[in-house]
Amino acid sequence: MGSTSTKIKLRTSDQKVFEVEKAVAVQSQTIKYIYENGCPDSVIHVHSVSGDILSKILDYCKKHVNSAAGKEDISPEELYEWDANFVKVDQNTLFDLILAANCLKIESLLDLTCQTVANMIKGKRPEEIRTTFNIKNDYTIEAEEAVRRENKWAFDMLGGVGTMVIEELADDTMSKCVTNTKSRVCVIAANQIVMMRSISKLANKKSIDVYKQPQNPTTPRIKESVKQRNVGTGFIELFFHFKCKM
Amino acid sequence: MEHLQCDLKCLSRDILADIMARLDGSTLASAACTCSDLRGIARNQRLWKQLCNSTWPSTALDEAQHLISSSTDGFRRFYADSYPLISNDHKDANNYFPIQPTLISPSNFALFIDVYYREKCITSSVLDGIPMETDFGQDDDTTTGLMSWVLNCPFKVVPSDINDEDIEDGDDGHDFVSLVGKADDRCNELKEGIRLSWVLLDKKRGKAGNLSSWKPLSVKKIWASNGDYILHFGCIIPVQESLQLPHNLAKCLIVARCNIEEKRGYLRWKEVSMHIEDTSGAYVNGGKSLIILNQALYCSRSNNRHAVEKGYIQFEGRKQEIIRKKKLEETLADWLCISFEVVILLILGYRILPI
Repeated sequence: MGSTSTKIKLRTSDQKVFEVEKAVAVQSQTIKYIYENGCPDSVIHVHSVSGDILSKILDYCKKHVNSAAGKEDISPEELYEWDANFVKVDQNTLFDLILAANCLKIESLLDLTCQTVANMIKGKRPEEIRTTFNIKNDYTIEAEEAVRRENKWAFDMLGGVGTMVIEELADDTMSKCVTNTKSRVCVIAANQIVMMRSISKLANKKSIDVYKQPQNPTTPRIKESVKQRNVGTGFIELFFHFKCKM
Repeated sequence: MEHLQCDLKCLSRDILADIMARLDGSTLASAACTCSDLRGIARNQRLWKQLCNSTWPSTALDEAQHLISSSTDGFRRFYADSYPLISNDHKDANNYFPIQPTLISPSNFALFIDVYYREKCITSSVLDGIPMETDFGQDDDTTTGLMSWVLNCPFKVVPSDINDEDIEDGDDGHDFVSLVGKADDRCNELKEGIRLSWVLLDKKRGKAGNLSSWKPLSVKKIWASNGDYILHFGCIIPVQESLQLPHNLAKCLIVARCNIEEKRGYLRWKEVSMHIEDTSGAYVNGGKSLIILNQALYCSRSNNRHAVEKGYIQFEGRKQEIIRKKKLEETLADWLCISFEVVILLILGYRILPI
């Protein structure tokens, strides 16, 4: 067998065995170290990772190796979109991916998954963060009041019903209206859903402000155009371009 | 290492710290309110230092290092105080006016000045102590004499390292900022693109505040000069009655003067200065200005840009009102004088004619 098709066997915690090319497996610094220092013929045990997770991770590594080596004809934007779809999983799987990426030392995957979690937290009020991640509030009433007072300055920047106001329209980032009903308009702004209270208020407001979060480098850029139409009181569709600014 | 009682419990503290490092300031503050473990992670000064350095590059300069971190919880408080803008909020009727110390010295303060163009920082400056326009001499008697003179004079701060005093043509080593857009639309480009942050820090008490309005309040071209533009930034500060300013309001105005070379669109700063005005447009003297600056650090803050702009427009409205009143008074006085003179002439006329 030529060196280009060296295969490495990986055994997971649930006794599944995966055979992958060396180039793919050594994306993980841990596996690379074991392979180079341990016995290359026998199977490498990855105790902390289950079969499903490892299979996903190997897909990720394969995609990135192939794209870097030029085996797959994929543009950076397409790879970016692929990554964005890769992390569209339920929370438990996402956390398992983070732990596995941490354990296997796959930096790009760890970066991608941590950024995804960070995006899930951005712009949320404390109650929303608690709901999303099922966090138990262990503050006493006095302690909670004290910490809220300490952080009061941040609250008018955060999302919430009726509090988001769109500030400027600019070129780079986009937001897309998802649903519009008689009573509410949802606008996705940089991976974050903003709820506005009522269409009538929106229709009458001349300038609509929103507090944008600083743009993170992994936010996908969807190329669409900007339109604002006001069609009666029933529906308003808002497609925005706007730049993240302070 | 304690685990959080939630789905995040499986993540180690290092991973959580990595995730928190990717958040912006307001989200970090919000996460701190969720539970005590996240609060512990969110209080890490390194996270806030990183946020401060990326938001205000002047805080990353060497001269700034000892100014902020010397106070406990320094960077977090600095960010929390300086990020929102000072707003003159009428709803918040109970403005807190701190008890004034007997002498507020300009050296109590530090200034962090950053100018940005299209989200990229183009110049940063740190000043330890407010530079008053007068140079204090070595002699104590002269110093107190000069000090009281300066305190009674109109107050203006001119940080020297931002300003280009001796500008030579050609390459003088500066990286010029090249403006985008058409040559005839420079005002608009400046208004959309330039942002200025002027953060004042009280070194002793660790309070900070951003005296600028981020976006320019106005941009004007000086027609008499060759490509000079003036940008105004600032904030409105409610003041206590003992200072006896009309409407109990003061405007902290930051004036930036720049030159744009028309052909290539290169921008160069000529002067950045700050002074304080009252509603009648008069400059406030040194002593009162220092008190007002101290007060500004305790004002209510808001992230709502429109509310801040509204406050500024209201202030300008009041200023116009005062000017109109003065004009009206002068006109009335003129008419009174004229009618008085006419009456006297008529009386004299009646007296003289029958004779």
